[in-house]
Amino acid sequence: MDKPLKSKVRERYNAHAKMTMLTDRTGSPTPQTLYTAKPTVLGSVLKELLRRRELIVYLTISQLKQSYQNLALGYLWWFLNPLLWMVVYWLLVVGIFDRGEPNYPLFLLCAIIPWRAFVTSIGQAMTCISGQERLIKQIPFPKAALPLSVVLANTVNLVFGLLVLLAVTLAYGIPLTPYALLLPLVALVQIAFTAGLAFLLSVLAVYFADLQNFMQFFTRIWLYLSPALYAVERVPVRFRTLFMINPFAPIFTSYRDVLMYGRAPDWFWLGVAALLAAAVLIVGFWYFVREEPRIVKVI
Amino acid sequence: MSVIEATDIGVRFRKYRSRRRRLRAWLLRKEERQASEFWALRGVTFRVEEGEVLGVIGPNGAGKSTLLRVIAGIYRPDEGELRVRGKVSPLLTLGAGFRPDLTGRDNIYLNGVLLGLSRREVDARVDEIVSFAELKDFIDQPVRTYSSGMTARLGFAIATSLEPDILLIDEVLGVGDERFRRKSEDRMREFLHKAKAIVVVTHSMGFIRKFCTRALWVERGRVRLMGDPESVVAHYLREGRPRPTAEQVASRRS
Repeated sequence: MDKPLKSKVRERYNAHAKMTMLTDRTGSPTPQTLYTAKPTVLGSVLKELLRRRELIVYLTISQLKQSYQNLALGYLWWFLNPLLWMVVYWLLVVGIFDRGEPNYPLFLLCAIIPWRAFVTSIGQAMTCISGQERLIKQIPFPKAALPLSVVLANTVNLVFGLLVLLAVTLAYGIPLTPYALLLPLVALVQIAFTAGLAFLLSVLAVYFADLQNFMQFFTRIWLYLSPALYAVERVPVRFRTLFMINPFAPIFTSYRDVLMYGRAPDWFWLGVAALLAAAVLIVGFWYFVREEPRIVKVI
Repeated sequence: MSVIEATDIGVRFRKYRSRRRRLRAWLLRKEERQASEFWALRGVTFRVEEGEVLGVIGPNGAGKSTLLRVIAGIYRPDEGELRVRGKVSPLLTLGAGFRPDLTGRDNIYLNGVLLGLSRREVDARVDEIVSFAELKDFIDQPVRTYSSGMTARLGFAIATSLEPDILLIDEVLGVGDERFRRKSEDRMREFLHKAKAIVVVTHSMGFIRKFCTRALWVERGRVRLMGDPESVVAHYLREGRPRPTAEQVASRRS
């Protein structure tokens, strides 16, 4: 080290020391960070997400504002969206195929409202990382907050949808039973499942852009293979077990059971769906955390 | 006490000629994967002491920006160890996280919490940010209605309201019109005084000579030379050009 360097350092250091005396009254310890190639521990990511919960809240709010702020009817779409989809399917099934179930519009709504929340989550999850290249390459933050906020924003949508559902049920003159209190439980199973898939798909969509196109068809088929437009009873008994492994089969029927029919859900199949949802959530989160350092480089 | 301590860090990328190649490598595993690896940084070791201004120089694609991103915590090193003491502010690109459909105010909050502030901390800064960016009348309009200068001003005002311990600069400056540029330069100078350490990536040798206490010359992902800015810059200017091959050197001698 030669002289000019030393003096420059000293000069700068002194200037800084003066500033510290003026500003560092809080005495908060300087954070220390160690970066290594070691794989991230799941627990530390959870802790970090908990610490940055305000970030998740703001991302969620932004997501919600963004989807409605530019529309003339604004937040009215929370109610309009499920009702319009109901009309579409009602026209299709009752008007064209001349089929349907008793109280068919309500029957449809019980599946369409949850399904829209699911499909929108999945769609937004696939762009929440791959569409945020600039942000992700410039600011360090726990990336898991992005798919999480997508799911949370759609949970808000789902809650509003379920309120519509309650209103329509009452409008049909169907009395609510205590089983209606299980509504949040059914929603929870659905949200856990959605979150797990959102974690998985948000990463996979970075690696394979084609996934988005593929998923459009896949979700359509998925809907038709779920008891959304028809009742489970229409499925031949020998396929029933296979059919019910799809989490949305027990989820849709449980929504109907607790609201329309005022009875207990099929606990066995709802339990299976809950276990599946938990498994998908754990695997999805684990995969997300494992891939997080790689995503930044690939994107 | 050193503020940044990098020990033998390396960052590896995978390169594929196309997306289809990536799918193939993924399906076929191993061989094609290894062939496509390259190290953007390797074996990089240095320290930044408190009070230092480190200038990073090197030709395009040498790994300078990658180095900043590692310090900022955006890329995780694939080798080695990096210790950072203090809050790091990445002043990389301004307004990176803006959502065009949200208002300026909403974007201040979103960007603030993204950069690690709490809601209360943003509350305390929001008026100052708005007035510094000179956007009082527009702050509740969606950002998509802003001119590019207005957007850049807002980004600069948010990024510089952070009071970081370690400041990273990637050849920013030059925001907005002449008057705002002068104003932002003042703020940068104020920053130079407040931060504990600064790491600047720049092609301006003048800046290195004038402000830096040390210079780090990176080339092909490795440290070529580190030390006193004057001598590093002098070496860089002399040798930084494409180096003659051994044969050329030999023929010149004879």
